[in-house]
Order: sequence, then structure tokens, then C-alpha cells
Amino acid sequence: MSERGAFIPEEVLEASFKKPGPKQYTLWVDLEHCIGCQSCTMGCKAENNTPVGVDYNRVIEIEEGEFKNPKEKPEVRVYFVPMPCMHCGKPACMAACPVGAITKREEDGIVLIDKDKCIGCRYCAWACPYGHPQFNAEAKVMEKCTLCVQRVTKGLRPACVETCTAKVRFFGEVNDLTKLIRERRAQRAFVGPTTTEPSVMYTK
Amino acid sequence: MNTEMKRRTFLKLSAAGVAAVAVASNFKDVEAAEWKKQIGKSGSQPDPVDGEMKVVRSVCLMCHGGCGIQAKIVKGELVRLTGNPYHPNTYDYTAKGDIVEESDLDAGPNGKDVGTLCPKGNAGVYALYSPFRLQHPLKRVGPRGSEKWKTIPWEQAIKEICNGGHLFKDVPGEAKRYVEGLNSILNNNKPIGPEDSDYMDEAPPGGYGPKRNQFVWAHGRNEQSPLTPRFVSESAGVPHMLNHCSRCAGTFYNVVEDVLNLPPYEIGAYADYEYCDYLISLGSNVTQADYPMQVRARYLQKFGKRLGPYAKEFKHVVVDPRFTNAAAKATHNGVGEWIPIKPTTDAYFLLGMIRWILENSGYKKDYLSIPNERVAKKEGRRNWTDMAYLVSTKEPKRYLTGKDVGLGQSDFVVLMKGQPRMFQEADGLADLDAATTINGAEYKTVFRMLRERAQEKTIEECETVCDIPSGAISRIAKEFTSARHPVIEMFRGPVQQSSGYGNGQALCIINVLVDNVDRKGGFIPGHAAYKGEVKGNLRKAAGVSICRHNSKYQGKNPTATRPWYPLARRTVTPEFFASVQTGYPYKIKAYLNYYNNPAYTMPFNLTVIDALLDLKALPLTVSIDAYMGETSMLCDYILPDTEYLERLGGFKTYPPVKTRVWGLRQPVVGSFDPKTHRYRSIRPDTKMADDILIDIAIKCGLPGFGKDGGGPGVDIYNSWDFWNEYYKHYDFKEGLDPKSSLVKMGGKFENPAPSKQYTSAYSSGDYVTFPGGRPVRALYVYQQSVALNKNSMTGKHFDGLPQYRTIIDCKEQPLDPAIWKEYPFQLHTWKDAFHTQSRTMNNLWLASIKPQNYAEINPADAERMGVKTGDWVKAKSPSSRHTPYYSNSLGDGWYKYQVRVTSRIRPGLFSICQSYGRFGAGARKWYTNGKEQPHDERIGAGFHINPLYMTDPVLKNIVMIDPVGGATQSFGTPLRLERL
Repeated sequence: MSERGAFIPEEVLEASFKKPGPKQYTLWVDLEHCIGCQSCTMGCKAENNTPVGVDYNRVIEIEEGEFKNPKEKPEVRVYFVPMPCMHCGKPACMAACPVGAITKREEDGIVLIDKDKCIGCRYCAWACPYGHPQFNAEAKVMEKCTLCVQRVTKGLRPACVETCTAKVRFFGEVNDLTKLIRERRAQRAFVGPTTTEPSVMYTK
Repeated sequence: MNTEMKRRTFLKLSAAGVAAVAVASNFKDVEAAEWKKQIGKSGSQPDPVDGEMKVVRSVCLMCHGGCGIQAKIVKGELVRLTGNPYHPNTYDYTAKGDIVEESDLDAGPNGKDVGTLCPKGNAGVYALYSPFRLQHPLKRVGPRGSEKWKTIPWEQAIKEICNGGHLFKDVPGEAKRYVEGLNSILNNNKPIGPEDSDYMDEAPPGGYGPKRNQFVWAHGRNEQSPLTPRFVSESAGVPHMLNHCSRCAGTFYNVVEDVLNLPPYEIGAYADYEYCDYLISLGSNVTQADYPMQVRARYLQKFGKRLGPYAKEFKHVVVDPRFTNAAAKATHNGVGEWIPIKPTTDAYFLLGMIRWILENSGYKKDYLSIPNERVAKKEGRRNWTDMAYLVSTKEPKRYLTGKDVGLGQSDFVVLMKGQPRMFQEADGLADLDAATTINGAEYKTVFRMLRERAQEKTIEECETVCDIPSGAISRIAKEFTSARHPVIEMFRGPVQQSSGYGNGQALCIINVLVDNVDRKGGFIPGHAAYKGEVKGNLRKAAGVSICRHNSKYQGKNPTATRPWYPLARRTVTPEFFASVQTGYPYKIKAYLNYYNNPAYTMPFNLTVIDALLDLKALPLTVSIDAYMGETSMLCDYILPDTEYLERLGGFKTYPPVKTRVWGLRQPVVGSFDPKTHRYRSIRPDTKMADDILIDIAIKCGLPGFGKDGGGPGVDIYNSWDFWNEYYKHYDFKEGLDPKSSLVKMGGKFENPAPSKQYTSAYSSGDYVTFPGGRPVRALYVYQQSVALNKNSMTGKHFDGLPQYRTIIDCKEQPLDPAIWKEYPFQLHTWKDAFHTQSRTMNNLWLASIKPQNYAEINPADAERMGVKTGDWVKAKSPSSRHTPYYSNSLGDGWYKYQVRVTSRIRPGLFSICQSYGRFGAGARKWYTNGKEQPHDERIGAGFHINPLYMTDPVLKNIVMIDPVGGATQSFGTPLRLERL
């Protein structure tokens, strides 16, 4: 995971955040059972009609260990990690945006880019420790996961959650999800720097 | 937020404008161009919660899994596809009771009951609006393969194809070439004679059949049954409806049907993930490939490992040369494991396991000793096996019959305390590991024969051949037999090989040994789907199939010129392409390609390309295709098909759903003519393949279509007529009535609740209900039908039991071991969850997930060769040669590849996932009426392996093929690699 978050000085980062809202809607991904099929990627693409090359969600594959001798027990591990926007508590993208096009909504904590204000400078992509915001070359603006805000405001779940084939993505308010994780005795996993307080949760 | 939504609204309006244009005039260029523009602007689709939205439920066809889809349509435009929640593939509603009416679920556009779809299913929208779709009928204006076309009207296309003539008189070299049309070919019922065949000596006593057999149909993905088989087998009346099964799961179905004694539903048998506690997946890329991928993934991950009764102790062992996604999941929590078996050595692993099980009492002795149904019932079992039946040790190795011993009428004889008894008269358990001599001839029980076969090699030898850690087979076999509900499953890995039938048989036998066939948590067969019927006065196909599948060699010479496949119930299509240029067994006049792409998908596809370019071998070639596929581009005519979202029909599905299902496929866009019911596509000059076939049948005066085609008073002029009639019979009654629950729910579904899936009527444990099948039955470990047939190339009998084999040629000889010195690597292939063979890279949404593939090699090999990820290597096989169609061909049989180094591949392999390296389907420039057509080089990204396959050392022009099951040797081709 890249450590590009350091691009913005800490005080600038702090100063740019408004008071967080009362609620934070987010995702929980159960990595133990995620099969890396990319249904979320395509469900998202179809729902949000993103251009080829721009995806609000991607599943990355992390390979660990080495296997070279077939006569020994193979010690190789592969993890599939779906990467939507983390809808951070302290979004580095928002701090980096020179025109104030990025906001974190008070009512649900969703981080959005206002495409009418966006000038396509790509600072947000540089600032984001997860490299999430992407440049839409045709519209000349930055884009990112909106947590399917058009659905969420109508009481529906994000497309990635609904289409998940192995049923490992869960949507909800962060405290409710945390409770659920505790009930299931699942173990939290962290997939990158946490300085921006990513809201998306992963369990091993 | 406000501005975000404003933009959505703005773009929504512009999208609505597109739809209006589409309805007003035609959809072709405007639509494609507009769609491309829209694709560049996120949120441009019409608001999916729009008031004017309509929901249409149909069946997916991005793969063969048959999942239900729910299409959201706004102003005639498809906006989004999700799973159809009524279809059990996409949604778990077992707790909600029977689903009879639409109101039984909250399935509306914003409903709470939402079905899932895999990445391919989600990307179906792109397929419908793809700019690469064909728009008009095409006729070539240059030599075959010149890729120069002109558009022609439908009437002209159908007329020329049916009537023939000097069709290509303007093409250089073809001025005088007369092409016979389908009308005269299909109505010629005189017998095939010496004028059609140089091989009359090899014909069976009844001859090769009528001359109409010189018409050949080949499909790749056919989900239009029973309309398409009606056209081919009963209307045209020819014995070959060639399919892709030898490159796919034909042997799997064949061997499962034989050993498990199943009706030929073509559904196979699978592991019951929900209730098993020890699962071995051998050559089964579950959670990535294996249809229906999303259902099997969900049942395995959700029910098997998370919620199932054995979730805690569930152990998954993945036996595969590649660390598949399933292997990643199996080992994730440290319980399961990955056995990185060497490709082609499956028989050694399986027979090694059998040996351990037989020598260590890991089998269910009482169960295997049951001689008949009566005793099975007494023992609380629903099925029994042939393990105690006696078989002759001399060829032909038949089961000993009652007559042979003078006991009376009986197909089988068992030993009861050493005394022969007719099997039906035995009233207790029979002798299992036994042999006897009767009238001087020796007979052994199937069990004894199997034990002796398994003991031909030691377990250590097996582990050496499989190249796995020593002790692995014994340990796995021990764990397997100690588990409460063990099951071993397969898919194409073990069967898509020249020894595939025996491999599949061995795997089924392991399940038989632990008595898990049909069991809850065991090895479960598929079910019969719901069905309807269309009657009619139809032809009966006669004569010999052009690929000799299902055909016994009975020629005058003791051996045949090329192989015959008496035991393959699915066709052996590569053999058709490999023998058609020599006119074996008889010459062909016309070839109709439907939704099929052998020029790309067939291992050693160079032979297919050669055959398609040969005017003498294939005088008339027509392709029904929605895209400029690699095969279509080598044909004479291309008739533009609609996409699966613009078709009528229906499809079954596969386990793990164990209850009955039939999904209705219906167009989600376009409309039916209110009077004639003929479909009007959004691209007005494309037609449903159904309608094309019906037009051809009517033009040629073939039975089964047209006036009274479905019987007196039932006219079949188009697809709607056919399916409306089909859905009135047997399990259906209301036809395509829009008010029927069939149409509203997108099919007919039985709730897969446990009470429907399992029966507790047997004291030894629960069985699956096996709807529509034959639950009470014998299982056949020994395959007498195999043993009684001969290999046409050697004249020798096949073997009725699995054998220790790796790659064999058509004469059942192993490869010359010296070959590995020069070609030390092995070719290996697999598939991603977001691809099918040949219709996903032209879907740029799917192509964007992994824009190119790589040749994957193990770090040990990379170090030896001094290469790292991103470097280039060249590869060649003993058979590969140059072809201009592949841009990575270097000449002299060398092809260049970019490598990715990964421990997910065992050492010694050159592993490339399928679907990449396209040279058609819009990957390259092509022209119609002198104008460049939509294309995109991203379609052709990456690499393809099919030209690398090694050919049969005897036959030279075809990949090695299983002489019993008919499957291609899809893995293990010897390769030489060099760094570039």
C-alpha cells in the first residue's frame, strides 16, 4: 500500500475537516470469504456507468509466501481485498482539493466530489493513501466511489453489496457494523495507513 | 451532493434523447456512438428509480450457469441487470415458502429481495449496446478470410444460402465455382455413395446415411434447445449436431452418467457443499469458473464454510496445478490445503487414493456387498453397486450372466459364500473381494478387479508421478475416509484429457467407495428441469455422424483411417475439422456455424482455420453470430444474431440447486409485432437466430416449421410461435401469456428448501430427492459398454476400469519420454471469474478488469531462466507453426509471451488463462462496403495458447483426444521456453 498520505502536512489536513456528522455509513468486508470474483467491481460499474478504466471499486490480489519445491508443503497465501473509497473520517483527498470540490456529508459521512467544481488537477488521487480517486479523461474530472449515494438516500444498499456473490460485503452505520463484527467474533484487519481514519472495515 | 444529482439529471435527459432516437428511426450508428459517449460520463444512465421503469425477468447467458436476471428498463433502454430473486441461483429464499406468484417476494426495482449476479452477468448491459455488434447480413467480397464484406438484404442472404448458384462469381478464382444451396442438400435423401466418399470400405453395413448428412451444423453455446436440435436433427434430419463438448465437459457428463447410472440430462454430479465436511476439489476451479459460478461460490463460502452445520470442521482440499481462488480460500484459515499436482497425472492421484482406501478398509464394505434393490432396502440404502458382480477375465470382458452359469435369466451373477447366485435372488450381502472358476474360465468380482488395478502401482510411485510431497495421497485418503461426509468433486481438470474418461471414472469410484452418491452432503447428481413440448411430423436422423461420435467402427478393414468414437455421447468436433479436408468419412457440402468460435477456442486451432479456408472441404459456410468472431470472419456469409437479452427460450440450471428450475428467457428490449409476433430488435437489421433458422427451414420446405409445423393447426413462423407452443405443454400451460407467473417471474421455480431437497426415508441417512431422476438404482464401477467396444485405430478392446495413464495418443500409446528433454515445460490453462472462452474480451467492461493476461511461471523457473515479471519469453511445442493471425507468432512455431512470475503456479508450467489474445470480434480492423467498422485493440490484448497445443503423434493435425470420452488433451503439452 502506498504511503502517499504524507503529501499533505498534518496541520493542513486537520484544519480542513469540518466537525464530523452524527453518523457514518460505511462497508464491512469479510476477507475470509471474499473469493475475488469482481462481482462488486462490475456491479458498481453497471450501477454508476463509469468509463472503461475508471472503477469506484476494484479487488486487488495480495500474494504472500513463495512456493518453489513441489516436494515440500506449499506456503503460499493469496488475499483478495476489495477496495472501494474508504470514506475516511479525515479524508486526505478533501484536504488536498484546491477548489473545495470534495465534501464529507454530515448526515452520513459519505465523501463526494462535486464534478461541477472539480478542475481535474488530480491532487486528491495523490493525497489519498489508497490511490482511490480516478481521473475521467473524457469528462476531465475526478471520480470516486459515492457509496451509491443515489441508492443510499432512497433507503437502498450500494450495488456492490447487493451483487456480492459470496455475501461478504455488508453496508450500514459504522457503530452497527462494529457491533455485528463483535458478535461474529471476527478479527479486524487493516489494509493500509490509518492516519485518515478509513471508515471501511475489514475482517480477516 | 446537489450538483452531483443535477449532473445525473442532466445526463439522464441526454440518455432519454438517445432512446427516443432509437425508437424513431434505427439504432445502429447513432446508438453505438451515443453509448460510447455516455460510457465516458459516470452517472449518465437513466435514474434507476425512475417512475417509468419496467422490470423484465429473463435468464443470463454471459456464461452457461442459467442464473435468472432482472432487467430494469427505462423508456425502452436497458439500464441495469441484477439477479432475478425468484431464481434460486441468485437469492436464498428457502425460508419464504413456495414461490408461486410474483407477490411472494418483494422483488420490485426497489424491493428488499435482490438477487446477485457475477461480474459477467453484471456486464450484460455492455453486450447489448456493444459497438462491436454486427448490424446487417454480410457476404464476403474477397477470397475467404480476406475480411472484406458487403452488406446484403436478408431476403438475398436466405435466398442465396438456400438456393445456391455461382454465388462468388465476382471473387477471383471462383468465377466458375457452383455452390450447392441448402435446399437441394437437405432434401437429397439418396444414400451417400462413392461420389461422396473415398472411404466406402469403412462404412457400416447400413452405409453413411442419406446425402443430406453433408450438411453440418456446429454450435458453441446453444441455449435455444429444443428449437435448435429440432432444426438440426428433426427438421434437416442430420445425425451430427456438433457442439463444443470435447473442449469442455462432454466427458464429465458422459462418465458421470455411466458410473452413476443417470439419465442423460447433461447435468453431471457435484459436491453438496452445504452438508459435507471434507471436500476435495480436483481440477475444479470452483469460485472462479465452473457454472453456475456464483451459486457454487455462495453455497461453498456461505453455507459450507460459514453457516452450515459442519462449518467449524469443514476442510477443503484443492488438488490443482494452480493455487486457484478456491485454494486461496481453502488455506485462508489454515485448515484446508492445496496439493499442487502435476498436470495430466490425475489418474495416479485418484487410483493411488483408491489403493489406500482398499488396503486400509476405508470403504463401506456392507454397502459395496449389496447385490440388489431388495437387500439395499433392507440395509437402509437407496442405491447399490456392481462391486460384487462377477466379470470375465478374458476378452470381451463381460459381466457373467445367469445364462453363462446355467442358473437362469439374469444380467449379473454374484458369489454367496463362494457359490454363484443370480444377483436378483441373493437375499443378503454377497462376497466382495472374490474370484471363481466356472467351466474352466476365471471370473472376478468388480471389487477384486479394481483392487488389482489399483495395486499395479505403489502409492509412492503415484506421488512421484504426481510430483507432490511424499505421504500426501495416504494422508488425504485417510482424512477423507475418516470424515463424516466426505466428497471428492471434479470438473474439467481430470476429464479434459486423453485419459479423461478413466480419470472421471476413478473419481466417481472414490465417491462410491465411501457411499456418498446421492447422499445429503455427498456426491449429488443434477435434476431434471421443467419442460414443455412442440409436436410435429418430423424427420429422423440416420447414418454416421461426421465426427463418428456415438458410432461404432464396422468397416471392412480391421482398423479405420481415423478414429471413431462409439462411446462418446457428445460430439468430437475437433475431429470433424481435422478430417473434413480429406473428406473422411464422407465429403461435406455446407457448414452452418451457430454462436460458435472453433477457430479461436479449439486447441490447435490452426487445423480449424485451415479447414474453414478450404473451399473444397467446406464449399458453403454460413455463420450466425452477433460479432465478427474469428470463425465468422473466415466464413462466406454472416447472419447477425441478436444478443441473449433479445431472445426467447429458456434454460435449466445446475447443482448446488437441487430442486427443479426452468428460467424463461425473454427479450428485455425491442418488441414483438402485434400481429405476427415476429421480434423487432433494437437493431432493426438483426434477427433472432431462432427466426433465421425458421426462415431457412421454411425456404427449404423442411418439416417441423411453417404451416402446421407444430402439428395440425399449430403454425410455427417465428420464435414466438415456437416458444408460445412449447410453454403450453407438460410442466407449463399458459404459453407466453404476459399475465402468467411464468412470464412475470421469469420462469418456474421450486423452493430449494431442505424439505424439498432431501428425503429421510432411508435408515442409513438422508438422500437428495433427485427430482425427475431415477433415485433407486445400481451404480456401475465397471463399464462393460466401454470394455466391449474397440479402439478403431488398433482393433483392441478398451478397458472397463480406470488405468494408470497420463497423456495418450489415438492408439492409446504414451508420449515418447524423450520429448520432455527437448520440451521440458508443460502447457497449462485456467479461467478467470470474469471471462468465458470467447465472448468477454469484446465486452470492454469485463476486459477492463484485467486488461491483459500473462504467461505465468513459477519463481523457481524464472530464476533458472533469468526472467522477472514483465520480461518476454518465446515458446514452442512439437507441433506449433506460424500463422499470420497471431501477432505474437515469431515464425518457425515460436510465439512470444510476456511473463508474470507467481507462486500460484507450480514449477514446470507455462500457465495462461483463457479468453485473451483475440484476433477477431473487433480486435482488428475490418471492412464492410469498403468502410472501416468499429474495432478496439483492447479486445485483442494479451495472449492465447491454442496454437501451441501438441498434436496427436499418429494423426498429426489434431490435438490428442480421449478415445473413449472424446475430450481434448487440454493440459500438459510439452513446451520449450527461451528468454527473449
